[in-house]
Amino acid sequence: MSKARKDFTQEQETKIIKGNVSAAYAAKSARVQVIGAYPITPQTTVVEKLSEFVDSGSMPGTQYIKVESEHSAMASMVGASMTGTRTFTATSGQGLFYMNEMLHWATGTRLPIVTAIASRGPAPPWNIWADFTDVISQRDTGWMCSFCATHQEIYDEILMSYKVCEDYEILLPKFVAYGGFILSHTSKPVIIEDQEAVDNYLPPLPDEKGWPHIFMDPERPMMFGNLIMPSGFYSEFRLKIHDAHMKAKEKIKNAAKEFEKSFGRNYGNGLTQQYKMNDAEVGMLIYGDLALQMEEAVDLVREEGYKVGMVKLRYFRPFPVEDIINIAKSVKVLGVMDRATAFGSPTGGPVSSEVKTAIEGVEKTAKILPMIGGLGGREVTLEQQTEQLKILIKMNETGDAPGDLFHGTLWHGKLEVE
Amino acid sequence: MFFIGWLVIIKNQKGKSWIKLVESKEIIEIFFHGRGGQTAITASQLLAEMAYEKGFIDTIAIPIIGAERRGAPIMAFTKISEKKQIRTYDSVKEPDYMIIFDTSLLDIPRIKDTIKEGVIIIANSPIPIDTTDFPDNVKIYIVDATGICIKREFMHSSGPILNIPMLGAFGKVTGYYDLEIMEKVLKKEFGEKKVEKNMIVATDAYESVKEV
Amino acid sequence: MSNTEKWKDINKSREKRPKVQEYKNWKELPPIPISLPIDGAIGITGDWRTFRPIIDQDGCNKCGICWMYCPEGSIINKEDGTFEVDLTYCKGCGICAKECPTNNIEMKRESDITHE
Repeated sequence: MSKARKDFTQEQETKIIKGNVSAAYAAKSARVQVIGAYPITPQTTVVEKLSEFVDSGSMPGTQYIKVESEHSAMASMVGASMTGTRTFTATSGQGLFYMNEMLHWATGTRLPIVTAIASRGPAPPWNIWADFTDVISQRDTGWMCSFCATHQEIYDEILMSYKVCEDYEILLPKFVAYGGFILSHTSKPVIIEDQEAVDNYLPPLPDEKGWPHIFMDPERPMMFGNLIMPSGFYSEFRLKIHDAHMKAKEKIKNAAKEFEKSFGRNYGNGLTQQYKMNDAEVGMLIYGDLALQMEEAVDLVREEGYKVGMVKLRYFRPFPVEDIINIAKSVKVLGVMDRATAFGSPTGGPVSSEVKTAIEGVEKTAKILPMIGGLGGREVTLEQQTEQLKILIKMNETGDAPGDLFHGTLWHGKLEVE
Repeated sequence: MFFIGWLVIIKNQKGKSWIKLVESKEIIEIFFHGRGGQTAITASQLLAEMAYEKGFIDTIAIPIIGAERRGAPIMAFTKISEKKQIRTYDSVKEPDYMIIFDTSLLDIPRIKDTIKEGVIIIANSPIPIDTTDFPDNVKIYIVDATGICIKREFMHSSGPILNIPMLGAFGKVTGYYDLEIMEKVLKKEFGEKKVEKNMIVATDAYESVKEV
Repeated sequence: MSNTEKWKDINKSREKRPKVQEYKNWKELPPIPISLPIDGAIGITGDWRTFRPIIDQDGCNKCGICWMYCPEGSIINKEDGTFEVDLTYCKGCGICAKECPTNNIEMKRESDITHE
């Protein structure tokens, strides 16, 4: 099969493309063999572009399965991946929720399916704009999950994902999430890499033998999806999934290192990426598109003489506990900005709750200020982000948290009509 | 580029930190106002591509997308930068240029409010636009894009395709790109066949845009 | 090969695969639970039987319905076309007797057979 697919052509080229198109190009560069997807705003242009690629013959041999729902999209991916193929799909918000049952199936069968998520706010109230609650709400499906801050990162991260997911010690599915509209529909220059360079970077496509643990071959029959009695190895298989997540941290770091060697673009250590944190007294942990703009805000605030820094959280699952502890030890105040909600959790924000858990019991860590903002695509301006940094600076100077916290969390940028 | 820098210094002499603001103007911001179906969003994307082709190192096209329908007011932005990486995704508040596809939009107060002091407007209009209540230092260029499209039969299912003539006019006013670059980008985007007619309307606009 | 890679044998050809795989702890387990086709995966089910199916070979029309219906695959289709019950795995459920169109299979109590 892999021999017949030599005629993928792509030279290194910079294109001004939407984030969604960047995701489609990544799937093409990765030579995905089966795509099963259902369109949903704001992901639609990913599947539009992919169907264009398949139709025009620029992805020879790739199967595009037209499905009738997201549940079927993921089911088709599970089925296709079981036969030993590289698979790709994309969705958003409500579509992701509809996939939920099949997401568990993908983890349980340990299939390296990569799914791009153009994140959007869950309804109701009906919302189609950037909000990471959709992908974070799938936290416990066992999928790996990372966020992108730039158009280029979407392309790069999807390639890195295949490298990590298809590692025989990992074999896990993964979400690559980016803010709906903010990244999905804006256009920026993206470097599409040379096909041969990508082929050299990625592991080879699975051959007729399929994955090592699961395959559909009448010559080597096997049964999977079996029932396990309570006295059987059920919890042990669950432990193995968690074990794979823990092992994935090293693999993610290696994949990022190798990526830098091959393509020259740096993504920190893979799990987190620091910006001007070396001498910082105050830091901000932030993820998704807001992270890029926060770099600009950090520079602006530094011009005024304050020692601030920023950490981009690239991975939410596996959660980079060790990195978070180091960061929390290196600064005095750490803001954690969530563009997502976790109702009823310790802080109301999913990542800030996890940060608090991660540093539990560690001595001399920063004061954590959980923040929530930009929900449902609400614009977060550069001015607002500098203001957020200044709140942290003030907290460091006076030792007091700002007054208008809601149960310990700062909901920044709330509308107040005069 | 130099021209823009100068404008900003004048503009901010009242303010305190003008040097920083000049620096931040390394990024040129363009504001598009149009109506659904007038192809303003594609214009913002094409402008980003042409600027990149010309040698700007970073560009971003930002459409504001909600529940669009034909005729509804549409906003889009393009930021282009010659040297600096663009690291913001937020909307443009103080544009350097404003491209207005439909002057009837200026009757809507909230749209009129987006016109800021010092902006250069390129409007689709056969006659000079009404500048009552405009802020100071606004420079206005007009081009009869709709007229050009009708004359050259450059239409889609329900109206003229305004983005090409408007971008032709913008290229002339700013000098950021010329017709040659425009042709190159349009070829890449729409294929060889369709370029000819595009270039006819672009040239018409390029030659007929004038300051008022 | 380390113990933790034992499961990778399942990727081998049918002949080279192990008949039975045994795992001592979670680290040795394959990534997912799987079953390979072997005889009597959950043991010798023949000793569950209290009634034994007896095929009357004289009246049998060799239709094969018993063979098709047997949930355990314990009816053997012999080369001469006749059918025989594999008593090692037959658990005595009686489905063959129920389905036999010629009523040719009798379920006999095991204790009666032993006493004979």
